[in-house]
Amino acid sequence: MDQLNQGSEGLVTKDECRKLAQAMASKNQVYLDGRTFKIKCDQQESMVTVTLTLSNESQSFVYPVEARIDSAKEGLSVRDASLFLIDYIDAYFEDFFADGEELYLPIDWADMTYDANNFQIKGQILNVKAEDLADELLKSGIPYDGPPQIL
Amino acid sequence: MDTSLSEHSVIRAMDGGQTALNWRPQPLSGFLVGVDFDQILAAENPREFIQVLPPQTLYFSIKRAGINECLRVLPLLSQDQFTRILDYDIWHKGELSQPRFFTWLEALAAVGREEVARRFVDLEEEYQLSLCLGKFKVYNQEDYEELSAEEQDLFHPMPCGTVFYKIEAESLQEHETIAMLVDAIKDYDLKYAYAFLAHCAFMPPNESEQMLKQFRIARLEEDGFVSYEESSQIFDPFDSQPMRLKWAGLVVPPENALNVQDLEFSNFLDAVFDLASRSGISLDDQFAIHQGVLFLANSLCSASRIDADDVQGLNRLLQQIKSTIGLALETLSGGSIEGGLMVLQEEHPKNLFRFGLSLVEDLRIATLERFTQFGVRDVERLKQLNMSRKYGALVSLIDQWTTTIGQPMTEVMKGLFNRFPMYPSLFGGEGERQVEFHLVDRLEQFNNLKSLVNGFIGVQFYAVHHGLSQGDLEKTISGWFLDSLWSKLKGAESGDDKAEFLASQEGMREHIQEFLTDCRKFLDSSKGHWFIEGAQGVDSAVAFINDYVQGIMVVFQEGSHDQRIAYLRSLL
Repeated sequence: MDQLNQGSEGLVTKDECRKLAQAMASKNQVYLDGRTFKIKCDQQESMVTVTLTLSNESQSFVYPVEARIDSAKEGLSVRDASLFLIDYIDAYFEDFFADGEELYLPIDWADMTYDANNFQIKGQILNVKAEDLADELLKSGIPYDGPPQIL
Repeated sequence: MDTSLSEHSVIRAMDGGQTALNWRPQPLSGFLVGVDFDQILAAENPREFIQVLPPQTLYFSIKRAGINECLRVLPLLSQDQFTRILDYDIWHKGELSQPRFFTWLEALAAVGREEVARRFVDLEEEYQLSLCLGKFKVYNQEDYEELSAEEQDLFHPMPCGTVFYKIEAESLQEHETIAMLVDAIKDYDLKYAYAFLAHCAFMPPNESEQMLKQFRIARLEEDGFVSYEESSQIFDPFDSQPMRLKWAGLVVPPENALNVQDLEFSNFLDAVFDLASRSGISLDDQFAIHQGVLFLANSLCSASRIDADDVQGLNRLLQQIKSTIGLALETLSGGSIEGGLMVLQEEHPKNLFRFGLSLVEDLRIATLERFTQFGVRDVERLKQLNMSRKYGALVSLIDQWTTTIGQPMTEVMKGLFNRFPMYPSLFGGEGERQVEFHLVDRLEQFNNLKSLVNGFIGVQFYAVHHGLSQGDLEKTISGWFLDSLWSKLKGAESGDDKAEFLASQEGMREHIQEFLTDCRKFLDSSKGHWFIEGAQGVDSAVAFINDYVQGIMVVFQEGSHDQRIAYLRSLL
């Protein structure tokens, strides 16, 4: 594992996450269209959560894929658990791109089994830019002047 | 724990030459878009139409439309077509995927239970067993009666009442699909259903899947999908001379000579195809040419790391192949589309592809020779990797040059040594520049690539000739410029602080322009020492040098006096 410090047992570090995200970008340049990957790893006791986000600069495309695994229950070190999740999400993105970006994950936590490890995953494509604009509009108090609403 | 993001796996992805560079493939076209099923179904005998279509065409058509939108088509497929479609669709990275097959079963169930049974029973035995092995437990009456009542509830009786089976599914949906399959088979052929359950329950695992893998590989080879080794051999050195000599005398009457510049095709091969469709060549012959290109694409899938079901990957690959063949045709025909058509009708697409690649390979070899002459870093390793056709490792090695030779020249070299050659364009401002690669579709673009490569070599020559370190070219060339300016303005012996003095200079833009003019004069007058034959490159070399000294321009335009001094000190 060339991007990572060998022999470590802890959570994958921020620097390692950055290198792994760069490796994902290197493999998938043709699909990115200016988008970048970010990887974030968290740990709460034995529960390891990895969030791998594909997003563009304007935030009109933000696709956070989250996965979590109970490392103790699955007999993995925290580090191996986080690498396992990163690996799984990386493989998912390979299929996502190959499928013309039409291969979606459940939007709420769903149980999965891979390589005899049980974990959960979810993902939803967001348009954060549009959401922010909508929030601003609501906060500004400008009265609604569109067509009549049923609700 | 190794992960799929190890350096090895990134190099493996780069080796395919498909995904590691940022380029914009055209949308799906041709057979990848699919046939018009509505039109075929409206014909008098749609079954006949469907059954003459190549399975790969049918597969991509069904995949694009969605299986559930093709329910009227499924019963019309021949069993061979159905098997081959499964060969494409229900495998993932060389392994059989049961869930993918269950999607097909659900679609067949929507056609009718008899269709489910007929299709399944007519599949080769290895497919049937591999798809359902481990999915059943079968007990006789004696064993069944030893189970608790709760366990017995999970078993289904066969009509004889002495054989019981339990479905071992991973989800409720899968359970329902398998139950539907067994019921359909029982209705279709009860005797067969008994034999099927027994085989699925008691056959040793893996045996039939191994056999099936071999059968599938043999079938895929008929469509051109060959092993990685065989696929890689297409990139082996190719002696282009016989083909050059053969077509050297190709003369097209001037009144018939169409030139691609006059037509609206970016790709020479598309212009030739267009002419073929208008010039009375039979549809069968045109189809044969297209199939030849498709067969070549299939045979390159393995070297390009593309799975048989990857329609986007195949689309990219077809575009890369078409551009390389187009380059070959344009070269051999001297730019005449009629001539290109004559060549295309006679030469196999694979040989044309190899001829096109050989043009680029000649440029790669000439570049490496110049690298050796100028002592460019990593040159021996580059030669070794190029000779062994390890394109992923080549691109990965060059990728590490960005910090020393700068992004523009790194990207040019990545494009040259990519499995499928490309040339880059850069856009955006300093520090946030994006790079986009383009196919070498035409001779004109090949010459663009040559000029860029030659520009790189020109910069190397400039650095070597002036005794500059090639370690960090931005720093050394900018430093060289500043030293030259200092000598010119103050004289080499002056004891003043260089950075202080130069930071106070007005008219830095003009000084840079003068420096670039001198560079141009030098490069122009020394062409014989660094030019690769048949290529331009002085403009590119000057553009690269301009890129290096732009940092000075920026700090003079936007920075304070102190910032200017700090920046100049870092270069001097």
